[in-house]
Order: sequence, then C-alpha cells, then structure tokens
Amino acid sequence: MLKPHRVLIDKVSSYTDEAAAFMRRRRHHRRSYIRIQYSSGDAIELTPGTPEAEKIDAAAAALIDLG
Amino acid sequence: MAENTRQPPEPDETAQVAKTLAGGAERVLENLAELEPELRAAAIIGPGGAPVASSGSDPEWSARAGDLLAALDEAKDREIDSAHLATETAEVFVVREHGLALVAVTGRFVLASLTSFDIRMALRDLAREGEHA
Repeated sequence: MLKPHRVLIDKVSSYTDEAAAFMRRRRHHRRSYIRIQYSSGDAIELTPGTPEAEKIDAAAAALIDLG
Repeated sequence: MAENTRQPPEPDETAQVAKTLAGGAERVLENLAELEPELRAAAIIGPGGAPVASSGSDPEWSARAGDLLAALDEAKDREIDSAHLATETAEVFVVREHGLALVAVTGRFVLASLTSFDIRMALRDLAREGEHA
C-alpha cells in the first residue's frame, strides 16, 4: 500500500499534467495559420508575419468582420 | 518560381458565366448551409473574379471574398487549388474547381477535411449544371 504522502504527490502531479495538457491544447487551438494547396499537389503553410501572410490575414479579417 | 500563365477571360464571357450560374449557385450555397451548421457565410466567385452568388448579409461580402482569393493567388504568384485559414475566431475555406471558387467562413474547430470535401462537391455540382445549361 502506498504511503499517504505518495498518494498526495501522485494526485498533485496528475493535476499539473492535466493543466499542462489543457494549456498545450489551448495554445494549439488558438494558433492562426494559412495553408495553401496547389493543383500540382504542392502544399505550403505561410510563415506568419511575412508580407504575403499579412496581406491574406488582412483580407480574411475583413471578410470575417463583415459576417 | 513557377511562371504565372493565367489568362483572364474576356469581360463579356465572365459576365455571361456569372449570369448563367447565378440561380444554381444560390441553391448550392443553401445546400451547403444545410450540410455545414457552422457555416457563417459563403460566396461563389466565377472566372476572372466575377461574383456569382453570396450568402453574406453584407453586399460587400462577395467583393471581399474576391480580394481574399486574389491575395491567395498572389502569395506565390500561382493559382491556388484550395486554402484553409484559421484565426482566433473563425476559419476560412477556399476551394477552386472548374474555374469557380467558393469562399466560406465557418466557426472555429470544424472538421477541415470534411468541410473542404463538401465545398468541392458543391462546386462540382454547380460546374455540372453550368455545362448542361
């Protein structure tokens, strides 16, 4: 049988693992991205902050804001 | 870098295609809205960027959708086949098929592959109708 302090440590570490996983998921879900596919089969993900990505972001934001 | 070999259609031809497809395009957008409960708005853009139909509440929606399509094509100076954009509040899907493009804004966390597939099928339906018109 585990000693009481062991049970407590296991519980606390399992809660922190859960919290860390939640934060990872949240960060991943909130990440913005632009993925483009061409008819040749090539696929690219534009690097955020580049001029072309910013132009596309601005056009998408205008569209989303219009509803 | 690939050379851009796009040939813009003649303005008369573009207007004619948009006019022919307009009725079918509205029906296609209605069907798509039934398939995709998270769909907020969508527009179909014809060859040369001519707006064909839109479900957006704002009359400017088609024009903004055309701007986005142009920005995507200009990114690498190549005509895109499809694109998927995610922002913090929404996702945008763009699919091009048979010279028509459908731009759709959905809520966050939709199933991307399924949504793209539904959009492509919708465009194929419309293109088929256009061929028979």
